[in-house]
Amino acid sequence: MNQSQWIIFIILVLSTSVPRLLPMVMKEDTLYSTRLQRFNDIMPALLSGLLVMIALPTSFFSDIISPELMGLGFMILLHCLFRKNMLTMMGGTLLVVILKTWW
Amino acid sequence: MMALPWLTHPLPLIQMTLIAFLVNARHLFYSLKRRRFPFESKSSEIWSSFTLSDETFTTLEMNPHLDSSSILILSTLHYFYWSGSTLLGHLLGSRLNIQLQGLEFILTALFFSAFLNQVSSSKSSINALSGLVISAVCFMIFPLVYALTFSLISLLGYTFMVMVQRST
Repeated sequence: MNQSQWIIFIILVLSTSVPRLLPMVMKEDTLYSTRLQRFNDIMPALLSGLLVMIALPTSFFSDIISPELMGLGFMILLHCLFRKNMLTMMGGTLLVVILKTWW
Repeated sequence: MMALPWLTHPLPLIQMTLIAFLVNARHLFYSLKRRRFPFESKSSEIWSSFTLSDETFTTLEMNPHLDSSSILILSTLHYFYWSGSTLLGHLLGSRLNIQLQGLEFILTALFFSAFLNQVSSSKSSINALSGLVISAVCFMIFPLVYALTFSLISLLGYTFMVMVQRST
């Protein structure tokens, strides 16, 4: 690995380990403070919305009716019907793969 | 898996660092909740932090009275299920000669599934929708390189606004 790949590798290791280990070094009163509990209630929900935007492929924006848009619509339908995460994920992905590969 | 292409085709360093920390930020919230489960030794606590996955967290949420040894076994099994499946997928994928397009949508599907869970929960639905709308507006207004940074700043601003509102 060259120097820039080592830097990327270190960033990836840090980004994985720091959030996991940070609560272990927090003091009890900080850990159970009302402010942190409120932050813990709000931020994960907000981040879930942002992560959807980051993960959307650029082809999603290229067409009004893209396979990805149909995949997301199908996922909403599956989620409303069954409320099973794995089924929702697999169903949406399968539809996009079928549409992009064979249509 | 998402990070592997970064080693061969790296993004600008600041943007990549932001995305890496952002995607892994959920482990901070998982770890905060996991700290409520008492562990017998420091080493088992570190191991359970290291192996903590989305599946383990969901199981802990559904079974809040699990003991520490059960959590350790559960998180270890989940961890090896993830890494074993990744290895199996790599080995099978390199041997099978099937050209499937759109398979990368699985990552979008993973995050969208988590988002749908948040939206269907009465406690976090408004926050999840606000997160999507704020990010979408930032991605529409700003160039792609800066959109993530502005989205994060806007979301932090929104969080502090809600926290101040709730405390008064």
